[in-house]
Amino acid sequence: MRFARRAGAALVLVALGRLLSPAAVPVYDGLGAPDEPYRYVAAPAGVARTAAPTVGVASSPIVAGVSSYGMSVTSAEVGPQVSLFLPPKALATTGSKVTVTATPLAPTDQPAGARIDGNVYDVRFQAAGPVTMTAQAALAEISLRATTPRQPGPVLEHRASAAARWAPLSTFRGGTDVYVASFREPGQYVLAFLVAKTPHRSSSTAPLLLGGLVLLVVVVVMVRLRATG
Amino acid sequence: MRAAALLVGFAVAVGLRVVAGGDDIARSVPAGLLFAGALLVLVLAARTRVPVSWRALALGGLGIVLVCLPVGLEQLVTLRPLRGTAGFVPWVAAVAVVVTAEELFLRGALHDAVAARWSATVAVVVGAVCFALLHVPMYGWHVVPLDLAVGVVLGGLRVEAGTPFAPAVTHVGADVVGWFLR
Repeated sequence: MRFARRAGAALVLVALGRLLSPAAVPVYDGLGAPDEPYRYVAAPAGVARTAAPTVGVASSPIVAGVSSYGMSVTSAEVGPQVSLFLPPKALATTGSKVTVTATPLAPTDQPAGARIDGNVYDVRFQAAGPVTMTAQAALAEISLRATTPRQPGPVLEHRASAAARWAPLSTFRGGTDVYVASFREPGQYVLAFLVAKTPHRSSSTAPLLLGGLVLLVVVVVMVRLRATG
Repeated sequence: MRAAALLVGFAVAVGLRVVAGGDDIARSVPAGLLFAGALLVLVLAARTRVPVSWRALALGGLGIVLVCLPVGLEQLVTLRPLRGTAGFVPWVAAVAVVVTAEELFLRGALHDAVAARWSATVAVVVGAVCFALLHVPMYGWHVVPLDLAVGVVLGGLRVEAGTPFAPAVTHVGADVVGWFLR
């Protein structure tokens, strides 16, 4: 009985930790899982050819005027280049079904002071009537995979249509190269690196590695002395 | 103090991984193996014992369920597709080495040293905090609540089983399951 209580407490603890860690991927990894090369709609010069990027699609029945399912709109790459989660009852519309798509597009123009990384993702709602977002949609999140893990990382930018200006979103890192933001509305989403900031690179890592190894030897000697002393 | 020396050694091992891994630290196999090697040297220096038993294996198996169930349910509810198996075998070979080294150090050498000086409860907390902090350079601060919780569960398994073998089984198993839950 005591053991069962402890197991139950452990389960609650992990569930609580998961709720408090808004990450796009599970993070017990001793090593991050490798991804396939980024799939561009229009690859930059010098980038090897890949298969075409895929479209993320998800649908939900409409019950009592709202989407009854949670919808996970995820593209098929490994790892997914776009992932959008809309909780149940996030969309209100008429008809019997609502479909959400995230379509990759080639960038046409750059955000102010930033350089687009990868594809633009165009998110659309399709239903028999107009679709509006409910209060439940406040929990919706979109994540995009960057083409590189380099830091400082990019931020998500959004605009309602191709004619509008890009606006940066509050972004956090959800994985090695995955960036997450609250889903605001349908429209275009993209990752962009700020132009002003250049990644910091040390000239050589060899002295640091050597110093670390020397320090490790010192620690091992100390541990052995403590064990035998 | 032995525990303090081991903590310094742990910090050095994490530092080596950060330097060797650069921006792609989380996925860098050489950096991961360098980190694991540094931890295993510390484990050997501390002469950590790792008793293996059927009970510890069973507890480790139960731990896999406990640690993976919330994330698995989340995957089910959000209807996210499971990841495929391309690249799985070389990844799992490397990850098994890295996470086993983590457990032999955190729930073995460090746990023994802290428990001998203070108590098993303090050892569980210290191990969980180190476990959470070691993931920060790889994934950022937002992973701390989850890794702290999982670290406490892994420490609890260490106390219950009396050996780091049980949390090592859980950690390897959770990572294997974690490959598919993405």
